[in-house]
Amino acid sequence: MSKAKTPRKAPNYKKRNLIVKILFFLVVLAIGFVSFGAFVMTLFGALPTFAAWYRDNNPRKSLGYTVGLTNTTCIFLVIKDLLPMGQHLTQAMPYLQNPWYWCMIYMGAVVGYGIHNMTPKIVIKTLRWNFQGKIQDLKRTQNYLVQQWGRDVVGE
Amino acid sequence: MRDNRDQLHAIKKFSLTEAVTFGQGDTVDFTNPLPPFSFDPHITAYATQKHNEIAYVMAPHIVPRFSLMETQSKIENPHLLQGYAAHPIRVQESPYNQTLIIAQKPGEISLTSQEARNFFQIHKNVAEWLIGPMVRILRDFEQLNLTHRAIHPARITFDDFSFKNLNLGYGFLTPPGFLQPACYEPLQTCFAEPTARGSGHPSYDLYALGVTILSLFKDPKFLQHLSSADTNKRRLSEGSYAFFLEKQMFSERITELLKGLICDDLSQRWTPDDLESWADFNKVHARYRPPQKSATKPFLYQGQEYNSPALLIHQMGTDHTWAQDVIFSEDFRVWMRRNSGQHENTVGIEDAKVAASRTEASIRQDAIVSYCLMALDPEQPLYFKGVVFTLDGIGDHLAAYFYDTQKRSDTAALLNSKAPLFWLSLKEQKSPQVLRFNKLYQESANFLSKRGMGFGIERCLYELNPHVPCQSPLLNAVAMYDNTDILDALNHYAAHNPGQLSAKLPIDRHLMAYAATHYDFIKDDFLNAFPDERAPKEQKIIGCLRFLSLIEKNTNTQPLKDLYYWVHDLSLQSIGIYRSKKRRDMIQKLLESQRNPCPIDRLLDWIDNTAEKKLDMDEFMDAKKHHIYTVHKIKEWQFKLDNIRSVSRDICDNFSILLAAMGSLFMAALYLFV
Repeated sequence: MSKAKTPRKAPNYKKRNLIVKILFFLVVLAIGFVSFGAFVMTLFGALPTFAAWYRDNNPRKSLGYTVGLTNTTCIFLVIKDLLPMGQHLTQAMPYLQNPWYWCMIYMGAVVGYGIHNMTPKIVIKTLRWNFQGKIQDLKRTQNYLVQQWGRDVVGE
Repeated sequence: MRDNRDQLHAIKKFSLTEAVTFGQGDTVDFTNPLPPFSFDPHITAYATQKHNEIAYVMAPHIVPRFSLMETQSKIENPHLLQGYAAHPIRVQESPYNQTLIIAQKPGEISLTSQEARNFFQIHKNVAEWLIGPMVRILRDFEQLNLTHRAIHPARITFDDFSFKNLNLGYGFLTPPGFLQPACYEPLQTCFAEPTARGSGHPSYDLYALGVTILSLFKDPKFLQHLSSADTNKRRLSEGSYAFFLEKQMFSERITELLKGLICDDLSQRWTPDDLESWADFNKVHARYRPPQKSATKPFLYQGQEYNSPALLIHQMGTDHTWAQDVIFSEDFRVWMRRNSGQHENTVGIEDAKVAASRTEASIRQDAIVSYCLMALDPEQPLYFKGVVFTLDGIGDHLAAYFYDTQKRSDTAALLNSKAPLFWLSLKEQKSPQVLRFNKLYQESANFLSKRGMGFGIERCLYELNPHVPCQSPLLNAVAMYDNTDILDALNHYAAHNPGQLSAKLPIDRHLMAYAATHYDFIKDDFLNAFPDERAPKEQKIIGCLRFLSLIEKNTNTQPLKDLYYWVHDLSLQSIGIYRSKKRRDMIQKLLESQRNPCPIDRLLDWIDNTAEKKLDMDEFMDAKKHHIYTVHKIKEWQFKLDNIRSVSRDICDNFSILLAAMGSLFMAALYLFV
């Protein structure tokens, strides 16, 4: 006897999100222990990520992840120079006062928002094209069957 | 008989204002009807170009006795007039087919002429010139188990006034006894419908001869008067001999002759041997015994008194409105017991009622009357719905009135009621003839209960009258004598009606019933499996091809060109029985390649191949399942399409994260390395 296929277990998004959240804060705390300037930059630079995370009602938190990924990538690119400076804020000030860095960090978040907004349109268009193609193929099969076997082949 | 096979195929259509040639040079002058031979309104005689032949045209409902005409031709008796040929004809503007029979011309002087009467009355040489030839004819008929059933002074003719050469006219022009006035018919048949008198017994001809002899000595009006319905009924109570010869004085010799011939009991009636002995002046005694005395106390029925049980039963049979009430009344039973001594019969009516109650509800009342009258007097003919039948006359009656809806349905009801079977069951002697009729009427009732092709009233018509030509419009009444030429006839029809074939099948109810009657190889199982009228056209075509193929194979008929083209076109129409276009195209190609006539069986093999049909059906079922699958799939995809936002949500989420991850990596790589 063939074994009945067991349904795939639905992923526990809450748990996953909590772990990610904790990991994120641990990382931010770790950065804070290493460098105060990097900590400040991370805290203020990650504001769009926090906003996206808490605004997103989707349990998957896709907006949060999308924006978070692009945003934090940019943050890490910026703070990589701040981390060796340790707790000396004066040395970190030129970095904190440089608008280019802030602009880069927030542009990363904007790209994340952009990706999140554009993806459904692209995906839906692609899927629609795919589904319609499949329906067309099936209808062509039906026509062929009717042509070959007559109208009687049309099942109830 | 002449071989008129080549002329059987077409009905000759003409007007009665011309001379028309039939068959092998039989030219009939229709402008010249012959009054002296027009002895009956149902038959008209015309002159032909041959001085010793005459043409008779029957009224449309008259079905000649072709079997008698054919069998009689084997008798080489100079005193018997023969038929030569029969042709189906249609007089212009008449909707019915008629039959033209070319026959030997009768003599100039009939027995009804004053000269003949004078001759026989004066010379008293009945024995020499009349009885002698008639005995020879009747003996010939008896040997072939035939009956003439039309012996009448008008049909006994002589060539000249010497009265030496007697000619007995035709018995085959009409159904048996059809032309006879009631008094020339024995008691067993005289009350029956003229078309339902039946061939009867050879002694019926002797009875007719007796009355013919009597007519020589009586005024013609005397017998005419006795033939009237009311007067004729007296024969039931008085007996025929007493009825005819009441207060009549004849010589002892003639009286003995008439007593021997005009008696009602078949066992008392003379045989041809007795008649010959009488003609040879040997002493022959009549076995005639007067009938039993009639009832002393009359019975009142419909306001009229009846002394004789037989007469009362006859009256109830012909006027059956109150018959059922009377039959089951106590008065009637007491009267029957006292006056006829028929105690057993009065008891038997209860059994008759039980038997009749098994018939269909629509005919039950008529059946009860009919069954009870039979039980009361089994010697009387068969009464049904006021019509009187003899057992062997039912078929003739059906043939004569087949196109009269009312009479046809009455006859069908009679067969359906199984009254003839009950009548036969009352017979003590189970002679071969009784057994034959028993089988015939049992089968007829079965045929009527089936509605398919080859059954029904049409089958009864041909089973009861094997000599009746096929009434199918496709055959045009061509299969008159030779029933093996059905395919020839269809071929002829196809050749002469090329524009009417495309939508027409070469079979119909008449043709199937006719073939089933005449061909042993067409079994009822085949007919039971035949597609009915509601079946799809393709199935009907295949059934039709099977039928024709069966005839073709069993009669060893070579493929006929015009019929083949007809069948070929039909077979092309029947390929729709296959559901697969591929298979249809293949069979069509096969069929189209076979343009030259071949056995129908070959076409049938291509079209009606069981293995191919099974394969076709299996493949079709698979295709149907596949179609159902596609329908479900389309619905599924259409649903997804209609709900594409919810369907795509997961994908969008995952895809946007993936895209963001890739974008991040790309940005990091770009920043770090560039």
